[in-house]
Amino acid sequence: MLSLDGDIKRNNMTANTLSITDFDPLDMSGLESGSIFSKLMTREKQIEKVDDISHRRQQTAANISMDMSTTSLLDEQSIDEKLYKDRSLKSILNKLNEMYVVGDNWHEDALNGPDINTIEFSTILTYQFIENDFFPTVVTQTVEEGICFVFKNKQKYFYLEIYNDGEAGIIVEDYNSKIIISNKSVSTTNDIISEVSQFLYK
Amino acid sequence: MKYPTALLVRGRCQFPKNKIRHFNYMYARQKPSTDWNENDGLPDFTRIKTNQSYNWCIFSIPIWTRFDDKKTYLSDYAVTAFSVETIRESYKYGLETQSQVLEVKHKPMDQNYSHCEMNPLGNLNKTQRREIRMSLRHKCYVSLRPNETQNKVGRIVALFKMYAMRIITLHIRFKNSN
Repeated sequence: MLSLDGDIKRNNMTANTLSITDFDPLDMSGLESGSIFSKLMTREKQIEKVDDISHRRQQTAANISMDMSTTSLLDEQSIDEKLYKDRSLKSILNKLNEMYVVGDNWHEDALNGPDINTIEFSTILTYQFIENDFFPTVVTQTVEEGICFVFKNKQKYFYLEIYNDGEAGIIVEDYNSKIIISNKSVSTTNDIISEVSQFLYK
Repeated sequence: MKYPTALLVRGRCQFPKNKIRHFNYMYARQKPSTDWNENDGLPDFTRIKTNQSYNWCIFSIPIWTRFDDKKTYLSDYAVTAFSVETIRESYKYGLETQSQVLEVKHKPMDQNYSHCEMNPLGNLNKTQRREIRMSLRHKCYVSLRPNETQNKVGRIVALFKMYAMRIITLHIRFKNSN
């Protein structure tokens, strides 16, 4: 006699919750081959297999879609970064150009503006800053006659002054504590890049 | 704002530097750079000079400092105040200078009797100058921010302070006065 109860009880499941993993309908031991039950179970398994494949396809599609959206976000991010870099570079170069045009007429006390050498050096330095992801918050003339780049990190300020006489110096302050953290001369672009890097990412 | 005739010299004398007391204030006008941000504080470091013109607090109120040599009122300028003590003892706030490096002298101009000049006492290298400029930035107070105005009451109070400071400075004898 065919006893379904035994199998169902063994699997501790109702017919509605039968699953391929818990109950193998191809295990026909004790069942007459070609019986209705066997056919039903085979059909059930086929349906479940189709469902499983469909589910997997859906998952794969979802994964692909997610991958695509992540890739697209990354692309957008890199495009944004590139745009930001381009804009910053353009803005600083414009300012340097303005300083050149304004020349010595920038201050009421008739102080000299930055000369052509200082502007050229600052231009080269600007490209290096942007390449290294260093974005100055202020680029302006300085009363010491030259150009000053200001970088900000929380309440600390880094001032790089490039003077018309070819010298350059940095001074770092903690504005909240009103203290000078560092004050020295710098002579090479490598020194400058290293100092800015230390200030921004230390 | 109307130019105050009280700033005119009108034959008044020039005072020696020892009449400029430690407790006096010097007002400076300063236009921050275009990139200057409110949170960056005043004065803007790139605009602080080691040879600076000031208005002496016993003959000027802060808002008068905005008048330039041509009697033009520069409303977009900030006015900052430095105590004479800070100027004379600026060397104490850093490591690069060991003795007094700045002095203030009264140098009246036709249209500005309160005009004083701060100058270095000797040759300063750029590192020393940066340090002094930064010390001045840290030790000043802001009287007027760019485009900030002062109402009538504020001006009357400022005038009262100016006259009080003048009496104390010129008519009271101090021991060890500078």
